[in-house]
Amino acid sequence: MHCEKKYEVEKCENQAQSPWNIVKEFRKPIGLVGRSLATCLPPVRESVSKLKMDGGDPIQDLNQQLQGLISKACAHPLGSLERQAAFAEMVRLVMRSGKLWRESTAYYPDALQEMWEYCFHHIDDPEKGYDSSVCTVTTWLDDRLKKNLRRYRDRKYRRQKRHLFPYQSDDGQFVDPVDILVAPKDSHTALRIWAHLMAWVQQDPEQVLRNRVCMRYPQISAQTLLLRRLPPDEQAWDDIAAEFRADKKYIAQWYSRYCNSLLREWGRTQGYLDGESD
Amino acid sequence: MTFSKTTADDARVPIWVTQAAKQTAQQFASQQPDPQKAKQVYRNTLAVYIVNGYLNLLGIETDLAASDSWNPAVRLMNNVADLFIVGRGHVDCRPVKPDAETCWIPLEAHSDRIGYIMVRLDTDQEATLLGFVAQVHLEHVPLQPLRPISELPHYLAQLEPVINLRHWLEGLYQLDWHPPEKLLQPKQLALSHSHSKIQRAKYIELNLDSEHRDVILLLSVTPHDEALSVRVQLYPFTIAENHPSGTRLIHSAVDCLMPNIKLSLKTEDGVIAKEVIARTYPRDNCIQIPQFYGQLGECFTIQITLDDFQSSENFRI
Repeated sequence: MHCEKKYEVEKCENQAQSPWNIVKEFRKPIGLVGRSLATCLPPVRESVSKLKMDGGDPIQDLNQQLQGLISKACAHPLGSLERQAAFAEMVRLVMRSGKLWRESTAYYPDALQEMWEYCFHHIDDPEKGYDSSVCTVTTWLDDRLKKNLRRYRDRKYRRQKRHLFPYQSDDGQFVDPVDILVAPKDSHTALRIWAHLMAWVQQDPEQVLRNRVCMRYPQISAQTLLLRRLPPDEQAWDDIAAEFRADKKYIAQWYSRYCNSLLREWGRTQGYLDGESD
Repeated sequence: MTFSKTTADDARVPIWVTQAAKQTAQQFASQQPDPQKAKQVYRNTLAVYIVNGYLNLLGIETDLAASDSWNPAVRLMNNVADLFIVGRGHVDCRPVKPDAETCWIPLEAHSDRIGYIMVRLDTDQEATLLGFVAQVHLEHVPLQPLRPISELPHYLAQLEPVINLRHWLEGLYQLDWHPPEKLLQPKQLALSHSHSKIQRAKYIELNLDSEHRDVILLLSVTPHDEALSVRVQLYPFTIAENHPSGTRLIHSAVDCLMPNIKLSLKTEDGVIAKEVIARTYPRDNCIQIPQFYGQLGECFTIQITLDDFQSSENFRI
């Protein structure tokens, strides 16, 4: 706590000083020593904004930088480049500072995402927006984060069994789902799309795949490439290029433009797109 | 620690991995036929989801449904990690392992991308936006140096928006491109080659004194096997007024284009391939660039010029 008071003074005096000086000048008017608060109020912002260059107190530096970014964001309309850039810088500064409340709950990242969404969404709001006379920017963010966490915690208690991630094994070890991603060979969806696609590529009932021929290499059709790129035994571009004595960059680009457009169309007409876009 | 290393590190943005992201990644991974492919899809989906959440936070509009990484068929047949940024193009979001020094960009993702964002997946809940590059020339891209992720809004803003005509074929249109009958008079529509499969018109303000001198740009697109044919026409914007007697009156003076207004077609390299200029006498009620063909993926620009005024629209076939 004592430390924090020192920080406050350092902000006022705006220069790196010896601890003794700091203590001596504690509680002098904010901004400029020896002048009344009223007369020096407007210049405070300026003298304070210069502070970050002088290597003052990191916590106050951060707060002033963030306050500057909030003013910048609010001065420009939603969707403007200036606002986007100010938000990007705020996320970077705050996330790198490590100043936000942390806990190791499964829902912490979701609460964090929602905190940012809420705060950026309400940044212009006279009531829900940031008020520099009330607290620092990170405290404002923290308040919202803790509210979100509380909501998640309450929800979790209500339907405790619904969460999938992360989970602990029987001996209490944390399990990364990536490590145990098994191919659900018996999974209905996996089989459905893959088998359906394979049948379409092999049979090519409307002959669109074999008729879509590569201009530079007439021996290569969309079907030729799709058959070779179908998992689980997909061939590398190096091997396919060697087989047809073709330029691998060219055929990879041809595949990406012509085969993918056929795949997109197929995916759309077969109704595989519905319900997947969040 | 060197100074440059500190600043590069400072530009990296720690980011969070939500449960929602992991659930979607798990769902997409479960559609794959083998564990290796499932792992690739899981990591790619996480990277795209993370970048999508970040960009939306900043107010940058994206469209997951228009991204190949969200299409099950394309995802199954490609190592794909793209995210469509509305009005700009597809950005690649590539997952990187914590100890990696390079990022692998598969060959099929080397074209038709406006940039590559590297996402380091650190732990189950944490990731880091390492930075981005505009283009790649190698399959293994070094992770130093990258452009700071905070520069991305500026980078995207300076990119000229490109309209993907492929989306038009799928029935997805930009809001400022209207069905022609909304902007053109029946007399004009008669000239508009309406047998073309897809037509869209855009109102273009010339910022001149007279409000009657604005123009309508009309694009008519017909799909062919490997290509698209495109016809471009420029019409004056005319206002039909209902006369009290019940007859419709069209101002004949504004029925024609401003003399010397120029319609040009520019190729990807900025070369003017075709140029048409409205005549002074007799005046033109429409000028057009004759039908041309383009291959999938090719870009072109349509430019309208009059004195100091210039307006451009970029398209990808």
